[in-house]
Amino acid sequence: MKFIVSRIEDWDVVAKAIVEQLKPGMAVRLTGPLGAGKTTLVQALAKVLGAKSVPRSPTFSLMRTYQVGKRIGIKRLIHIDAYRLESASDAHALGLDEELAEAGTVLAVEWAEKLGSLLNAIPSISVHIETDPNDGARRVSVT
Amino acid sequence: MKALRILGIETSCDETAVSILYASKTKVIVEQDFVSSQVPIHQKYGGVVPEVAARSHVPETVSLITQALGKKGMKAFDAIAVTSGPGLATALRVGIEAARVLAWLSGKPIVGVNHLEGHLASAWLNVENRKLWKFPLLALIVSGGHTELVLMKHFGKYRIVGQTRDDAAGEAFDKTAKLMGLPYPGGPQIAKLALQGDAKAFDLPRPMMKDPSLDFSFSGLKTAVRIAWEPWMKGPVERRDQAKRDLAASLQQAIVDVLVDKTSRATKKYKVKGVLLVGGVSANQLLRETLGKALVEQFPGVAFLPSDRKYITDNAAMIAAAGAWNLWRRKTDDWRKMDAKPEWNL
Repeated sequence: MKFIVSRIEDWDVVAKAIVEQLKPGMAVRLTGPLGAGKTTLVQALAKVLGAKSVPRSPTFSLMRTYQVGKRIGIKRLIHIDAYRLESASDAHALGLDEELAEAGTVLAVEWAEKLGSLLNAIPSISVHIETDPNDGARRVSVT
Repeated sequence: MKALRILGIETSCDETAVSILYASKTKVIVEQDFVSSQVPIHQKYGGVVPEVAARSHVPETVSLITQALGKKGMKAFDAIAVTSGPGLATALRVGIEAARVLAWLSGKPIVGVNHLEGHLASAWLNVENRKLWKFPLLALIVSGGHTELVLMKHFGKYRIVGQTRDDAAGEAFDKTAKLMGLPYPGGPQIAKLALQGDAKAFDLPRPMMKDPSLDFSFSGLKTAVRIAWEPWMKGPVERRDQAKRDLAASLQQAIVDVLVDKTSRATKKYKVKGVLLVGGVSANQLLRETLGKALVEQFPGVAFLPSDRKYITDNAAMIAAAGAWNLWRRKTDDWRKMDAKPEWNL
């Protein structure tokens, strides 16, 4: 699926389309350059999933957890930012296996490419965001 | 308020830190203070290497505790304060497990401290600040991971009245610096370049300045800086260097303007008697000067209480100080039941 995002509300449309396919135990892999809108999309995802608080950037904390409730089976959203990770092996500090073992967990991973093969075993939805150099609109592909 | 010697332990994120603080009603002395910073490793990679961080917390925690206790061993302290959250669970647990073992072996009281309360206490380590310490107080916590305005009604009574809705102020410095091709950490680089730049050269947004809330938003500055910088990346080198200095100055001014404006508004709204400035970004000279000046001009009688520079980044002296606040209020934890609280709100 492809989307063009030119207003902030447009992210909700993208988020709804992603959530349609999202099941417990899955990961949303987000890629795209600095300032593309990865965190903004996770905020929209959290809203669609029924989180009570708005996710803030987890760049420094690496990981933040949100309780969500609207979607049957999905109980919590773990927002991860691999921006500061240098290699996939660094990510063991996140304790992802342990986190995913808890029923009803979904992951949203920014800079997912930095986790390398670590996410391979996890069923995923890949989202790539690019900024249009002409009008600044975001071009989003969901696969 | 019994005199206490508190062992402080901090491993919530990148730093491993251990401290011994003597605190009585009249005196507060940092007797031992060790931080094993991993910044050189971060610089090399342009970021943190968390697995290295989490792993090396273990030998570093043991080594620093051994140094802090010295020959006195368990007699070196009366109580233990350890950061229990918020932070990365795997990193937090290193400090917590060490603290639990010490509490079990020594039979002395232990308390889990909120990392943000530690930052608040960092301002209290300064003797001049303690003399002017009168509640209610307001604190601006600004660092790589935090941008919060906290109303302090008393020790242990806090309310977050404003916070970032996306990126922290320190993150805005680091990421825009990266877009401009500057090395990590970005804050000091931007501040250095800004000294020779014109802060009015680039018209950058002041996000949420007109918004009635006390919240912040710094995420949009990334796009603003990218758009401002793009034409210069292709321009002639000699003019590009000056443009970089101008953009650094403009960016710094934009961030400082918003931080100072919201802090002033909160000062007025809550009629506080003093304003704390804490966290890593409080190293920024323009922020310190502008906020100090704004308070003097707009709110005579309101004390400006910045932390000493050596306690603005993560350290264990501030954790021990927050430990004293808790222990004096008879708040302790049972070491058998302690665990990391990665999402602990202040």
